[in-house]
Amino acid sequence: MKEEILNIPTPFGEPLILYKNRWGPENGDTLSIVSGLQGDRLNGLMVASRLSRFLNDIEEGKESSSQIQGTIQIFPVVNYKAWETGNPVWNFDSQDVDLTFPGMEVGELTETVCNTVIRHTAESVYGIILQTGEKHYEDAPHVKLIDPNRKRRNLARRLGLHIGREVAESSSLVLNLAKQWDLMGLHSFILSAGKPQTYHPHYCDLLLDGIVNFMKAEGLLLHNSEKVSQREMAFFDAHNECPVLTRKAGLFYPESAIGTAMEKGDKLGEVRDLYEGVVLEEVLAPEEGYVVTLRDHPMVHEKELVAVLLREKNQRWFWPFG
Amino acid sequence: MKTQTLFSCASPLGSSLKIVKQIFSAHRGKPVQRVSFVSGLHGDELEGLYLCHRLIHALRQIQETQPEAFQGEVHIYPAVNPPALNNGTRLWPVYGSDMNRMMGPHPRTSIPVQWSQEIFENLKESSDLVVDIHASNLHLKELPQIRIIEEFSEELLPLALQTHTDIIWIHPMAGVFESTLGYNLNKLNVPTLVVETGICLRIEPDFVDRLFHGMMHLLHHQGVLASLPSDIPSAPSPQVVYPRGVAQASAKHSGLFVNRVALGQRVGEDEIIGQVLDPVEGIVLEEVTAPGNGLLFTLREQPAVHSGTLLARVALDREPKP
Repeated sequence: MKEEILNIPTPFGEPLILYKNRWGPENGDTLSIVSGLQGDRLNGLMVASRLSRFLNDIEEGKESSSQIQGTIQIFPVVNYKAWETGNPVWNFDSQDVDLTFPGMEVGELTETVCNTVIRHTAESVYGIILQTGEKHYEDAPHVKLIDPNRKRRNLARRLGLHIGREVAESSSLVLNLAKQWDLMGLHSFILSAGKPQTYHPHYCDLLLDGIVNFMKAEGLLLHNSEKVSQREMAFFDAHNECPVLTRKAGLFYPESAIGTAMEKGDKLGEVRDLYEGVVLEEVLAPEEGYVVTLRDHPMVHEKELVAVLLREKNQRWFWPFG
Repeated sequence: MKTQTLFSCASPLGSSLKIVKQIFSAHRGKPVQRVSFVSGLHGDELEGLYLCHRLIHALRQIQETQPEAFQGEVHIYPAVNPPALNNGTRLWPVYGSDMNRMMGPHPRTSIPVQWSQEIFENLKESSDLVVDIHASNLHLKELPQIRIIEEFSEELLPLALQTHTDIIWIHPMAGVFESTLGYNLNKLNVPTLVVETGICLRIEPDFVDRLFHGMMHLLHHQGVLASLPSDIPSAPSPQVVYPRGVAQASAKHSGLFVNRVALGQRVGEDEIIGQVLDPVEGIVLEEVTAPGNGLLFTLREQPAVHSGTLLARVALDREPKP
């Protein structure tokens, strides 16, 4: 059911209206799913849309083998004004929505939008944010957790992505939706896959499948025949991440792929001179690890981040029989 | 004056990015105090650059004509975000990163993060007192003021009083400050005054004049300069306002705000300070009134407003009773 959650007149045109979709009982355990925090993260938008259709089909009896047991809400678009332009942020205030939470009930437009999301999700038990890699980076599909205690890591495993990663502490984390959810007592998860401005159908399939599995595992969705699949996940603490920086400035040609395991000394790519094309540097894996993030934009400065490796030796496995 | 390059990295285009600071050393022996001025964290805030120019110009003259006046050390970081300054953008180009949301603990990944951390570390190591100079954003114009988070007011207020700004605003803490330069330096016991003045992408020479005189008085008061040039006038003491001493007017409608008052004017409660108009229908949506008697120290300059948008702040003559 599509519900209006915010309606603000704009100075010169149609009002800005934000919506959420909601299914299930009023007072059930609630899963809130948010996408579109930035105006260029397409995968989340596509997953939200496909998931909404799937849940509508169940509600309308077209998926007779499934029943909605808990409350599920989806907020497909948060930074509406940024989506109008296709930029990550609204150029009017240059404010990253995911550095504006919890916002204010009466304030600047972006603050009001953030506060609306907070108020509508505050009573939820679980929160999922659909994301991609940062601007100019591509992420292998993985789940990010704040304060990853054992329960949360087990919950994360049900999302079906094989890699779990702790969100590193930072001074600005408190302005993120995931952290605000954490402070409000929600189990919050960030699902990241792909890169901005690009729709990856395969990643969206993975995310969709994982979220449906999570809903089944947590009893939000009941399925007559299909069992909840138990999946394994390797989990990496924040201090076990290995950022790989360039030593030279130029054009970065990746020679590795996200989602692959590298041995120490394996070639991640090379930096070539922009003007003469000569190879200035071979970028090698400083240690063995899993390539979770890779630079997508070829122009790199000296000391530019081109990859993030998750160190294999420190991973903790969460097996399906945990 | 000694010029020091703090951090540099080569650009793929052939040039390099650099942070430069100017150092004025004590004439003899150990400096009585080391005072740093930093500006340009946001690349569209130019008032601070002009203020730094005024300070460097004046201090060079003193060093040439009266070097023994330097009892302490002055460090000036006039343009700490050159990529954004050169592009006229608030945020670091390519990434759209806000350098003043990357101070304090932060994983050192992207170039803007590394850059911010270098500045932070250098200021921490080489300063006993820091003045962090900002202009306002695109939307609001501000009288020259010093903003102090309540928890630091005991130490900072006596210092701020020496600067002769129009207003010293002691305000509550909020999450948004946790990743700023000022908050993190103050947390580490490096007293840091945050200046706000004018509006971005413009210079108000009169405001900068007042700030320049104030900063020279501060250097004299701290013993860094044994004497002041004769052309530095004395100035009246600032008005100190506490959280309850600031009242704000916000738009109740979306439309076009046209102000009827001038920044720095004294206003009376319920005096009309502007209107919100519907330009399409040609009607007045709202008469905006002053929220109290006092000094108008913030005024909306960008006319397009949404309901909830901040239009004006008044430093009240009297705090309202609790």
